[in-house]
Amino acid sequence: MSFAKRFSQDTSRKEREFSDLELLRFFVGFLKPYSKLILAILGVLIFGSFLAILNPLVLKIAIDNYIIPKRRSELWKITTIYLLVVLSTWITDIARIFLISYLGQRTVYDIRNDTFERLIDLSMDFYESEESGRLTSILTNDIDTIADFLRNGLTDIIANLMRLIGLVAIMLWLSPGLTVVTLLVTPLVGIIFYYLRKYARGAYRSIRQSVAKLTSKLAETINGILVIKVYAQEERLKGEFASINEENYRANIKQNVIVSLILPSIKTLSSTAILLIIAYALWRNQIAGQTEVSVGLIVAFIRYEGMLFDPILSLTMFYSLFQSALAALERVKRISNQESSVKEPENSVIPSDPLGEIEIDDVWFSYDGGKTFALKGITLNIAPGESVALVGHTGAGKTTLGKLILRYYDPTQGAIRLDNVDLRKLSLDYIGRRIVLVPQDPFLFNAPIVENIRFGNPEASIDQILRVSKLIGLDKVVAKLPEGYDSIVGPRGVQLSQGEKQLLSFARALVSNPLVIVLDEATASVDPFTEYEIQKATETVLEHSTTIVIAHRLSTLKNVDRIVVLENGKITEEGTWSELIELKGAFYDYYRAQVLSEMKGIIRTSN
Amino acid sequence: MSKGEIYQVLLETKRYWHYYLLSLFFMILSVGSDLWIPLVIREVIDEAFIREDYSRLTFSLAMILLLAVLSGGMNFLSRITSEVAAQKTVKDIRNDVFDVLVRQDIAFFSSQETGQLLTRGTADIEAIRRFLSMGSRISMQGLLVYFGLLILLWNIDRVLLSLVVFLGLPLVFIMAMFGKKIGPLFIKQRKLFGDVSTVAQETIEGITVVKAYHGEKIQKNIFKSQNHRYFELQLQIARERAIYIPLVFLTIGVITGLVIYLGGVTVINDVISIGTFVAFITYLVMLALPIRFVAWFLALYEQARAGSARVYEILNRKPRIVETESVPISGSLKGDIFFEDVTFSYSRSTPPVLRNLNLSIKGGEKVAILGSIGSGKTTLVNLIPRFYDPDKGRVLIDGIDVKKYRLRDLRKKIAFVGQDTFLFSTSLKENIAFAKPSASMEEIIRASKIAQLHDFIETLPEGYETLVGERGVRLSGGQRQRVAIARAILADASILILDDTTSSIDSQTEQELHKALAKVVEGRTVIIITQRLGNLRLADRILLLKDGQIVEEGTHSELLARKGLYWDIYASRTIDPKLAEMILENLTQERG
Ligand SMILES: Nc1ncnc2c1ncn2[C@@H]1O[C@H](COP(=O)(O)OP(=O)(O)O)[C@@H](O)[C@H]1O
Ligand SMILES: Nc1ncnc2c1ncn2[C@@H]1O[C@H](COP(=O)(O)OP(=O)(O)O)[C@@H](O)[C@H]1O
Ligand SMILES: [Mg+2]
Ligand SMILES: [Mg+2]
Repeated sequence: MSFAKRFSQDTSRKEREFSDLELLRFFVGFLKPYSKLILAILGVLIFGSFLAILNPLVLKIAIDNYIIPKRRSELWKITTIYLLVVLSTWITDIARIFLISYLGQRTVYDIRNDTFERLIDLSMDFYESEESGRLTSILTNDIDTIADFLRNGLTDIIANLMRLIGLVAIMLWLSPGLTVVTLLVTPLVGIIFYYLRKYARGAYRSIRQSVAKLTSKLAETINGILVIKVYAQEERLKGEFASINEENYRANIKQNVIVSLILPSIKTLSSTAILLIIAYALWRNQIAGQTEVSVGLIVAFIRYEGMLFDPILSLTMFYSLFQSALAALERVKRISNQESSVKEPENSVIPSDPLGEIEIDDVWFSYDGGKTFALKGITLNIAPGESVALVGHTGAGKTTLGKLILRYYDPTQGAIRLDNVDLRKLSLDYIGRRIVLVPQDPFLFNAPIVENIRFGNPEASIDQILRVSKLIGLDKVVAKLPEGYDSIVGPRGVQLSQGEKQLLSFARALVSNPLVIVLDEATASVDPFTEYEIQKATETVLEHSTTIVIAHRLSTLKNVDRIVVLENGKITEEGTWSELIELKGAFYDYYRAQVLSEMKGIIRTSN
Repeated sequence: MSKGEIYQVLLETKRYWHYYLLSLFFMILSVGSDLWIPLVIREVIDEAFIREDYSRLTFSLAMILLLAVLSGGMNFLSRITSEVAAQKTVKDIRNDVFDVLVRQDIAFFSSQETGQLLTRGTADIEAIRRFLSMGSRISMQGLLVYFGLLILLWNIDRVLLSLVVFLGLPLVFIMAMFGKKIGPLFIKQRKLFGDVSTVAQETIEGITVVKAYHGEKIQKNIFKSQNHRYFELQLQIARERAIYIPLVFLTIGVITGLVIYLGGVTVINDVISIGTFVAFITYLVMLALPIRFVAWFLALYEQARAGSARVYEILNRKPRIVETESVPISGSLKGDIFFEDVTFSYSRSTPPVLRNLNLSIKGGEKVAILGSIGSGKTTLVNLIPRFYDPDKGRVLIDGIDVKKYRLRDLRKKIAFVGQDTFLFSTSLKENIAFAKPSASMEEIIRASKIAQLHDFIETLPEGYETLVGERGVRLSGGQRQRVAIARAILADASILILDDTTSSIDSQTEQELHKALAKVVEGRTVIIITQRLGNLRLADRILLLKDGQIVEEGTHSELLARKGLYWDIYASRTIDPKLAEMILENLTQERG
């Protein structure tokens, strides 16, 4: 089979998958619900820009109409007007900062929720080809980059664009000639941006990728710390981490060189514009006499020019944040666009009579799109309430079959039916609540024991939890813990022993009142005595549930209704315990081998 | 919170002081040129416009252009140099964090949320990065501009300047309040961000369980509520920003208004020239920049402070497992293991897991440990490679307390296959050769053959290069366990510890495995923890653990004869008496 990284995104995918326009449309989709708020912000921004333009105008009037003509007694009037402008600016500033932050944070909140929800609805095959650290990095670091853009970039750009329009209008009104001269250098700015765009995007993309790689490496190191310590490989991992870190460093430097280039060149252009203004003014005055361009006008224009380049400068900031956000959006959108291979049916059917009958009808399954098959034509009918054991070598396909019954994947060919309805026609919620799996590796959340159990059934009462715990002997484990059922178990449950984790995982399944339950080596690390206790308990609690047991300790299977032997993805034998022993086929061989092995073990330690 | 951590960050930058010095130099040139421009403009206005004296005009215009280019160029150089220094510092800090992290003891990892650790290694360091790269630039530029402007204003009109300074005093108060308000919020923000990360990471890691119980809704709600808490905090921060930052501009605006009035009056009274007045106002407006920088700097600083507190919590943590004497181990160990009155508990509030345990294993001996769940089997073997140290008593290997060995050497001599198999998301080959990256292909194949893995790998199209997925999800449980065993075989250690490593392997494969394993473990000490009697085949002696103490010890027949715990837990439930008799007979005949 091929384990090509089907979804993995960071394996040097440099090609752009989405155009900027698509990314923007995707982004705007998140802004839509807040159109009223956006309108309000626009209002505030327009008013604010108006005030900002008014400010130098008032100053000009003060100089030209009051100070130069020496109208001392009336100077207070224009000063008051100036102060009123300042006060109004203050109020709009407050509104602007708050509303814009609100919009930004709210949008990012939505994007994060939405991405998480889409992510978690994706089918298992997606998760098997992804690294958790990378996904976490998208949900945290990448989305935060978008927040940065909204807060600092987008807001400034809107305000500044408006200011730009207003400025040009007022400048034209004051002096069209000076305006043209001032704007002469602006096309150069566009050229600079255009040239650097590609590089900037590439640099930001590598930053996002290296951050994800750092997160992944950290996550893997933390999860695998025991193995790393066992074999004293700390130094090697440090080396590996350092090289990813170096990658991150390089990407950051590259990005900075690009952005730093823009800023000074724009500043230089801005000063050149001042020069042009003065030269032009003097030239006009020489031709047309001193009065055409007044001192006040020059002062105003120099200030307008500064204000003109202010938005252009912040355009750089915007530009850099924008490129960064696009690189992040690309990664977010890839998750949003990911199709789940297991889909919710359009019109789901609800079985009229939930009994728990499972029909596996000529099921073939391949993990690698048809190159090799893990299951090759399995046909098996399991009656309501029946208990069936799956037996076979490791890699025979037992777990795979179990996962198909839960609809982690859909069969490549054939069908699985629950109570005569194809699983693909049932809602995922229906399956999820009625078919339950106790996996080979117990997974616990870093939460109190009681919550871990309740994960199986949020409505489970304390009584039910206590009863089940007692039945399988979990109560004895809990009794040892200082905080009892409220004890937190550590990440993945590391603060419990493996067997204890399995018990807890088992309890979780038992409180869920399943219609069908798959026990995948659920007690493999439990001692035979406890296992026996669990078995007894299960028989009462799961009396009416259809049970599929996968186990290697064959002696525990004597009481199941039927045993199915799986070899290489095919069913080779089927029958009750005694039937199969009689048959002296594969199952008999397994059993014999096991007993023999036990005996040999015993004999070895006997002499 | 102490201020300490951010100072530690600053200490880290010391190594790159020459970069900062260079950057400062460039910055002075840049700001100097910048501030010079209005002076030239003033001259142009006063001379060319008012007095119509054009003699120096060309020179002045050329000067403006030159200053502009100089300012831009120097600004670029200054940015790049300080940026390099900042990025290098951050790189160092991140590498240090990783170094310190992998040196921590196992206990540390079982108490830390993965997501929180992840944000400490990424986003929190990012806050430091932002501070170092932008903060240094802002503060340098801000201070230079600020003092430069003050000097200029001083030269233009002292009375007006005194007025400005006096009126500007509230700014200091506003800024101080802003810093004080926003600081604790940022600390909370970092924590909440870590919580978001934790929920995400945990859900993704536990996706099998989430899907098995259709717990997507529960997890979505948990995530949503964490996300919401983060959102609300961000709003709170926004609120503080919305209160304080406009206040700063209001103050500046009011001052400017007053200067217009008072300055206007002085111009009208012919005390100062109109050019001076314009210059004064221009500079005053420019003063808004450094002041805006202060607010910005404060936010960056507080964020970095919150981030560095979390980063340095790791960097300043001393691992509990440290070498006392660093006795090196050259060659192989004999493999004598001795537990001397060992008592151990995971925390003070819980009863001891091992209680006054005494145990002696001779070099080359094979011992099986049995016991019900939670009896302390895993804990016992965890003490041998020093994942934990005993509270009381000693663990000795070859007669020397394990604490005295050089840790690296000790662990290299012990191959430990844990109960919870962990594979890295690389290829099969790299996973098997994890302990010995230099291993040749023959060695890898030999180890795989012993672990009964080779035949399976041969059936894969990509063979040993096959990628196994995170934690080895693309393999079956038994295949994963065998990879872990192959890894241990290749490590070629003196002591082999197998903690329930065949639980997902069928008996036939297990038998083959034992047969092959028996040859390679010849002469090595082996401890095997198991729940299956088949595994006893590798052992010379059985130990039975109960509540942290060894309660029965001996060979199978000795234990059987006692009809004690061993009989209760194992023999009575596993062995089919009829079949056993039959087979035993067979076997004895074969042998006899
Ligand atoms: N997620 C996966 N991707 C690719 N191959 C897989 C995946 N899971 C299992 N396999 C392969 O499918 C086969 C059957 O695995 P499984 O059903 O887990 O076996 P078992 O009978 O031991 O439970 C094995 O060869 C295994 O390597
Ligand atoms: N990291 C830990 N922190 C706290 N308690 C632990 C930790 N690991 C194990 N324990 C507790 O110590 C006891 C012994 O565990 P362990 O040695 O793993 O048992 P087992 O015999 O099943 O291997 C159990 O009760 C378990 O809950
Ligand atoms: Mg399996
Ligand atoms: Mg254990």
